[in-house]
Amino acid sequence: MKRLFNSKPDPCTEFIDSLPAFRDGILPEDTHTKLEMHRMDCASCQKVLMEEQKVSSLMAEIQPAEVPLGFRDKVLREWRLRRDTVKKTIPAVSIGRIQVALAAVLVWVLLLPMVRLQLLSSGHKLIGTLDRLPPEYREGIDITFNVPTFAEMSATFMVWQGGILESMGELGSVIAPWSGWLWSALVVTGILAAVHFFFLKSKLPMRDSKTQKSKESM
Amino acid sequence: MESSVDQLEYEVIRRARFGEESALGTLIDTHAGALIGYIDRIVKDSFQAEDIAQETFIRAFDHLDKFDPRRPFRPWLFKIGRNLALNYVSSRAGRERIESRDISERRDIGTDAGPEEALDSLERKRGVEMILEILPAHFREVLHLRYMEGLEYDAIATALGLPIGTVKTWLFRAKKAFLVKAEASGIEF
Repeated sequence: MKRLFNSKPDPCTEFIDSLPAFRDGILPEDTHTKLEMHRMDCASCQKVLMEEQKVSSLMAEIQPAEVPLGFRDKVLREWRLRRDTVKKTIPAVSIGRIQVALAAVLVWVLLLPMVRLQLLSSGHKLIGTLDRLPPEYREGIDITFNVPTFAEMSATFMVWQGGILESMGELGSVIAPWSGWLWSALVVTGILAAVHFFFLKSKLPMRDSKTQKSKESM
Repeated sequence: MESSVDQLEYEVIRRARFGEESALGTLIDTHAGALIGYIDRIVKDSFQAEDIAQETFIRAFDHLDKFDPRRPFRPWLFKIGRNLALNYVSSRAGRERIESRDISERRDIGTDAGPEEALDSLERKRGVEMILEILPAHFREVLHLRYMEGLEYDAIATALGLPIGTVKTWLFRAKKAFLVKAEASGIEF
């Protein structure tokens, strides 16, 4: 527990942590001297260093693996081949365009009915409130509640959006031709990102590889 | 603290990200030997290790955009290679090949002669190889990464996808086990 509250490691831990660098003599001089001083007084660290040197000298016996002749060209050839194959299989319509198209449909098909439902609900609530008023207060009040049609709502939406763009001045006029697309892209990108993050990320299939094929054939 | 990457490697990876083949080739030249050796240590089959190393490079090149070039490349590459190697080992074909190799090696050591006599007839290098073979796989891996590849604790942690504390513990135990086996086999230090 003591170590949990003590940010400075004890000398033995510090020695063991720095062991490879200490053994290779690549520590700063003052650190090396400090650790060397500790080692001379610490039987446990002397043993650790001795073991480190033994393991290191034995492991040095093993020769590094040889790279087969032509390995580099083989890898690059295979990489090029797969890259070209992937390029050929990518559809002409990019994912981005599909997203934008989907967004456009979603905005007009899903968003507007949702707004319309909200309006209906608000209207009914208002009528309900009036109904609860005593008759004398309701006298002379005639409410006609007209829910706008989709066409009217679309027009209102466009006017509202136009207002925003106007307030943006020069930038608004640049964005204006693309505003429908931008709204759509924003909504659908968000939806797709959420779907990807929550459902697809860990389930994407791994690409077939030569290794996989060779495994199956063995 | 993660080992910092040198400027040259940073530049090579930056170019490789644009698909520049000379840069990709440099990465292969620099890391192929170490990677094949590491994978061979896991799958115990040099031909298979070569195939897996090839696949590792291709996967790494395909995902270079996800790699942070401020970090050392080798631990990241080793991590991909390790996953592919472990997939192979856990596959039925991999298990069968490794088991058959283990049996043939035990036959090579021989049951009539004791381990000391058998080791006497082998070179010191072969003796060390044999000790590594009989160590648990995770001990073998950390010893290889530390002493063959010279990776620091943090780089080993990245390659194995483990906390540094675990790497230190494994390495400490691996060294102990390695020395016990070496002494029991009569290998001189």
